[in-house]
Amino acid sequence: MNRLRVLYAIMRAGYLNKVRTYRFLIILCLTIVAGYIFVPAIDADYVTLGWGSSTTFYRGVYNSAWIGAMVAMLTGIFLTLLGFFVVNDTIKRDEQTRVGEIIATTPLKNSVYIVGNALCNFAVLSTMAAIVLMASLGMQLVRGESFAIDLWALGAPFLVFVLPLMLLVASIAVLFETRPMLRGGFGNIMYLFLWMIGIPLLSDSFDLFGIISIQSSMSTAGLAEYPEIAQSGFVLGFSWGFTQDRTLATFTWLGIQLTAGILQTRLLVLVLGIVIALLASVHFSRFDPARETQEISEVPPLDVFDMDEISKSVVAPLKEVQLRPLDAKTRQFRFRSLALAEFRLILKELENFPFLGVYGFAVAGVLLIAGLLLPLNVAREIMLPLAWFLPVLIWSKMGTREAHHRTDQLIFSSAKVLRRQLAAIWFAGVLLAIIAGSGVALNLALHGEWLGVFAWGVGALFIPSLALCLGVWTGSSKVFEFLYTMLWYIGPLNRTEPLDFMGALPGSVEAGIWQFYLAITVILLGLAFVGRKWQIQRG
Amino acid sequence: MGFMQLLIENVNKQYRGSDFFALRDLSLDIGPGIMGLLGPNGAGKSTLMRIIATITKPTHGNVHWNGIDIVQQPDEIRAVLGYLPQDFGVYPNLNADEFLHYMAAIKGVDHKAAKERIEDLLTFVNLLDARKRPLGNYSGGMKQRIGIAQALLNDPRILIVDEPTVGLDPEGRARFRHLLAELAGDRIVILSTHIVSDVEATANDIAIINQGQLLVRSSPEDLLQLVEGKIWDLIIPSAELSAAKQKHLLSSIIRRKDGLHIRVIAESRPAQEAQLASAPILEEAFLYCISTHRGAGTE
Repeated sequence: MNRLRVLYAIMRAGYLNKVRTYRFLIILCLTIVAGYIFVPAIDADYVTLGWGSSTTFYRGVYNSAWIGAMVAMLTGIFLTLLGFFVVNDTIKRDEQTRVGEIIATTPLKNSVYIVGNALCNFAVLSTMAAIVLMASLGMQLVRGESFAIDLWALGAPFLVFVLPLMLLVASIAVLFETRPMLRGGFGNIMYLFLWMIGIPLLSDSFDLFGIISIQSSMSTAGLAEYPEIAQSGFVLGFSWGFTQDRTLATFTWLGIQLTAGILQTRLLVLVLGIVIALLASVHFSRFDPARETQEISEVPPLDVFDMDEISKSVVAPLKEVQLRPLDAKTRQFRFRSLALAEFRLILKELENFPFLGVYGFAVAGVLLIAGLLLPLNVAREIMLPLAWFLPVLIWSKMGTREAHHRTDQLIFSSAKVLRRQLAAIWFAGVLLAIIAGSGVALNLALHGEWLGVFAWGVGALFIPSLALCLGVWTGSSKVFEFLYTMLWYIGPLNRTEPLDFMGALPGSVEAGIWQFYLAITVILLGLAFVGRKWQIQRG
Repeated sequence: MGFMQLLIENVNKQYRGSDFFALRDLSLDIGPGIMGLLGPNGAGKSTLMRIIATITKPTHGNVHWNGIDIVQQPDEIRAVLGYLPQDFGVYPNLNADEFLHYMAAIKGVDHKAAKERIEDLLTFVNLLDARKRPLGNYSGGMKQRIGIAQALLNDPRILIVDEPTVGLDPEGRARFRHLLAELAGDRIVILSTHIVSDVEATANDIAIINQGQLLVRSSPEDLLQLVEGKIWDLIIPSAELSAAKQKHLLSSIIRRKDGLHIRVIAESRPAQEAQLASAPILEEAFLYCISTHRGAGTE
């Protein structure tokens, strides 16, 4: 009972600490907006759930069961992705505020602390899911296709499908936080890849989100009225253009039958969440940084402390040090010095990741040479995206470093810091992009692809501008890591031309997509300038 | 450099969304020398320092550096400013050399000059041997010494140091005091602290603030004069300590074989057997000022 009370206290404190922030308020507003857009209007340009043939779009009537299941599936998908980034700083906060060091000196067991934090994350994510649920109730009335409110039909998919997922995400977030390698930017990227690649691979064999069960139940109801659904494609997620040339056909679905099989799967997700939380407590460093550094093999011998020797010695005066005055001529600002200092500083970030640091430079060198020597299409379409993904953790710190390391007061009290330092940070980021992608740029130039070189140049300007703007405004590296990885994955890597910000795809270069990103770059830089000015003035 | 003046006029600071005034109608005219800023925790010292260092702006009032309004034109003072905040961080992956070179570039100090200056400063703050160690491995006192070094990098005309000796060992404190005394000749040094002995050892001018207001502006001698004839030595049995604390303002309690030796700050003799103390110290003058202000506030 006592342990339960401690668990509750940890969960409550962490929860209140998280929800009493403007950041959470913004997240809640976005959650409500999500609840709204998950249920598209009859004349909306997009759909979120149903079946589409060339002439008709089929979906259920917006009753409590359909809306509940639809919103639960979408919430499950999006919160497993975004929710991770909302909650993956619970232990970090204890470390930064030094509360962790106090906690470490108490008799609290690691497992209780870790599970308490996982429960805190779970409570935060469940609050977000509950807000979407309430929004979906409102949406049923707003859309007005059925006014019969069935709370169980609406809420059951949340309880059965969403909540176990939230516990799983909450526990994974804690696990990542307790592993030095997975904490911070590298872990963020790893999680994104896990979500983007790992989950789709798993989905055929394991119904993690409950989509297979719900889809099967819905299609049975749909097929009874419209047998042609069997030949139509299933749509889940945001799909545009479905309603333009198609008629809408609706059927009534009364909800999913919760079979033993479904409940077993959900129970498995729950158990998995608990196991991961407990696993996180194994080898938890308990805020002792020494446990996270490499162990030394040999301890050097200590000098013997000789009291007799000390008593014989005479009192020496304090060593006098004369500080020579600085000549006024030496106080002349040089942008080059500061830009190079910023460049050295961003490269130093790699020391946080000894593994990446050592191999990162080697891989970057290989990519650079490969970008120069490989055939042009391979160089620009494969080597360039890889070369410009490697430094993501370096770029992501741009604009956040001062607040993160609390050097802001030292730096912001320097002369003309807004123009000088901001420009130097940006320049350092651009220099990094130029060096990392220089092999491909040379290859393009050697082939006379000057438009390609120009598009490449826009990419080299766009990436640091995006990082700087997001860093300054959000104060966190997470947002860039998330957005850039998504953009990089969906755009250049999956050949989505409108999102090719780096000129990797010949089609997008010819279509002049780079012009759009050049304009965005200018806007991002302007926003970064305004944001930093506000930061400095705010004090 | 000739004329040097920092003029703070009727400065108020109210934090957003709060009725609380961190500073209230505070005015100070500061010239070359060391000004010790004393005050209890939460008095508004750091807020005042942050306003002078252009980190934050006053809600109302003006701050002029050599006649230039630095609230409107902060770069005028930033170019000649050295600032050591009370709470600051460093880049953990850089070593002392790299961090100071970075700060020198930010402050616009020429690379060659910075190299010599950093050598001097690292010697001065006794970190030469640790200069290649990442700052992330530094102790609190070592980080504080790096903070002191960066504040002096650009040979500032105005040096603002907020609780500079916190975390320093006795040798580091002594060395820092010597430095302040040396620097003060032709520049303004503002030393904010609650360690009264640091101010006593260095400052030629003292300002005491409490609850955001300026209580006293005086030289150390005049401040000591305030409590002349008001400090009493008294020996009491241990059992009477609680009653004595309730009745009088005590500046020190020392346990001896014959009882507790206490120093009482009082306008008149607190007890028949009390003896007038020979030499009051600055801490007693400070306690006296704060307690009279508190008394006035509660009346």
